[in-house]
Amino acid sequence: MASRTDRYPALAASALLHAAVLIAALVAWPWSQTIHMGDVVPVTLISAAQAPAPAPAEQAPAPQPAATKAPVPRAPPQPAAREQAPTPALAAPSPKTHPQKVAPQPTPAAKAKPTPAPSEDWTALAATLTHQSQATGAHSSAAQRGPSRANQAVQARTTTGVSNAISAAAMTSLAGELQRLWNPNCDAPGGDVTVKVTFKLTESGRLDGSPSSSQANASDPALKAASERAVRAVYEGEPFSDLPPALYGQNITVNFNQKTYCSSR
Amino acid sequence: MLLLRRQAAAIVLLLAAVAFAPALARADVTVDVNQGVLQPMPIAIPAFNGAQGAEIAQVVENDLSGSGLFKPIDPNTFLERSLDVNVQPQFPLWKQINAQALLDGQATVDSDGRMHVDFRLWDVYAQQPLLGFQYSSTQDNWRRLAHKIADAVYERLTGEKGYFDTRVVFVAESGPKTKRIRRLAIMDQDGANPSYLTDGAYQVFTPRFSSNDQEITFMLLRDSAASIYLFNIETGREEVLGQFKGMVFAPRFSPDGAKVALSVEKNGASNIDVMDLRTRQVRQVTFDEAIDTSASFSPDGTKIVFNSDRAGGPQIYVMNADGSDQHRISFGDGRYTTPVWSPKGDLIAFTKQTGSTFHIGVMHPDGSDEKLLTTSYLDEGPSWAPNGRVIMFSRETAGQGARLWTVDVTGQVSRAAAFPGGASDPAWSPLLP
Repeated sequence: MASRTDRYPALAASALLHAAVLIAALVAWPWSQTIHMGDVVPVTLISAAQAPAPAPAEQAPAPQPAATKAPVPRAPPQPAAREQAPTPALAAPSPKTHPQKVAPQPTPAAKAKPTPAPSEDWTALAATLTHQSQATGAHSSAAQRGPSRANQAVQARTTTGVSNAISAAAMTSLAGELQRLWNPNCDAPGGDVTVKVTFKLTESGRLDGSPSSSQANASDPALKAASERAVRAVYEGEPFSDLPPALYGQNITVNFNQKTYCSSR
Repeated sequence: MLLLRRQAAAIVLLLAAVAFAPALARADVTVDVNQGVLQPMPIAIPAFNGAQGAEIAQVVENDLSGSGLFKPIDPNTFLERSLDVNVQPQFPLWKQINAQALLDGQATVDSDGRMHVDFRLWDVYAQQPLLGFQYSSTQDNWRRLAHKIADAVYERLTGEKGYFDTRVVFVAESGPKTKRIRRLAIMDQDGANPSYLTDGAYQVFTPRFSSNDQEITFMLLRDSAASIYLFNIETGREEVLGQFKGMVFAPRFSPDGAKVALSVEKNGASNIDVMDLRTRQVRQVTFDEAIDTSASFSPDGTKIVFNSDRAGGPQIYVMNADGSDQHRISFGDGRYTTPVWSPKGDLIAFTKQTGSTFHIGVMHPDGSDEKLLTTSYLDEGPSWAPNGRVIMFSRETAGQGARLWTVDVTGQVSRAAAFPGGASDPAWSPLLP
């Protein structure tokens, strides 16, 4: 059995150990210190609801209480140049076929078709539009861009049997018009795509029906967007008034080669 | 008999010719288009109807135009003025002003004070709706509603995720250079709603966002001792990342948020360590007598790009995440620093100094196709938007403090961020939920 004096070293060591623990508890290490941060910045929740698909123009545009009710056709378009000869592809109702559909709109006074501008106002309107066209520069820069290398030049071909009727020059003209309007997004993923757009033209150079695209039903949003950009170029080119008559009524397929273009930038 | 046979054959040929002639006449014509134009898409964004509708439309317009991919049309040219989100627009009137897309909407506030914003995106030429949603939140949250609408429009028209409903943490700088106060701050990506996260008692550096939540990491300098902090800006949870043998700096999360790569300085050299945030185990991945720093993970987490002066001047290197296969990818003239891997994985952004000029640039991960996007007295510290389309960085002009700027990956669209004061070290958040 150890004597009382034998325990002194152990007691001293124990006291020192307790003191060390106490000091450690009271003095925080620099790396473990917390700092005073400002208020938190919470993320507020936002809920989203899908709006229903727009109703066809023929459906009755009855007023509905829901804020996201489907769109209904508005009053007929104004007598601008293109509206005087609407094509079958236009979804907007014509005044002759659906006049009664316009009447029951929720706010008929505000949504009634705008008062036709007096004839003398068209000059001002045209001036406004000209100004806008210049301001946006939508077409000017495109027109200045032509094929800069042989492998980037537009190419046109016909199937056997109609090449005599449709000259290569005519198709090159069509391709040139479309390349002036085609605005692909080369930065989008999946840009190495060729979008085939098929359409027909009437004798007036307008679209005979809606253009169809090989990627119209793509599940990839980038491909879908690429498809819509190609189709938009075709719509925007309407009317194709400077083409030879032999091209009208033909099934025209345009290959918008996004990979070729984007890789050549 | 022979004559009869010849007559019959001729009749058959004639009938065949008559039968197939229309088909031949309608044969397909194929045209290849290998050229186009690259220009912002003209889009019309009239003021939304209802409470704060004009302000919401303005925020959407600013977001989209700032991306460089859209060109909002001057509202003064609009020919249709009274749009109703529930009524089809008059497409011909929008075609006349060259609008390719039209966004209209309506904001309402219900009896509970919640704001509902209905919006529709139209393809003007196809005369079809492209998008229709109703977003709801508290009324004071209207800017976030607008950013979410801009993201939806951006994604629908480009096929890529947007980046507008995001925030940026940065270091707000004030005071003279000799006694600079560096506070951690946060704002919306467009500069709205700025607020401070620290009070300026300590110096903060290099804040970085986790790519999958609202957590940030940063270096804090206090009494000449550096610490790496974690802070969740949504919950307020705060944490210090242990103790290191030496000065620690330049932390950055791995893509999954489970690890942090950082630089540890010891005996005049700095190397890159990777800490597992769950186990707190630290693994050194570079062993060098030089200065290895600014580690940034690839989006799949398998590689790390970093900056090292092992070859003399600072250059950019890539290695596997475990430290193997270290190889240099930058070989141009000048000094390359602060490499950051794009969230898309296709590019690495960096700061480059040539003489007395600084640039923000990008190159592919193999070092090819280096492209300088900016040139300035002092541009540095690039941070990617979550969709890899835009880079935010700090720009200092001679005699003036640093400001935050953005530039898109084409270098065509560059603009100053709206934060009015001195700011540096931006870090872009992921898209908000």
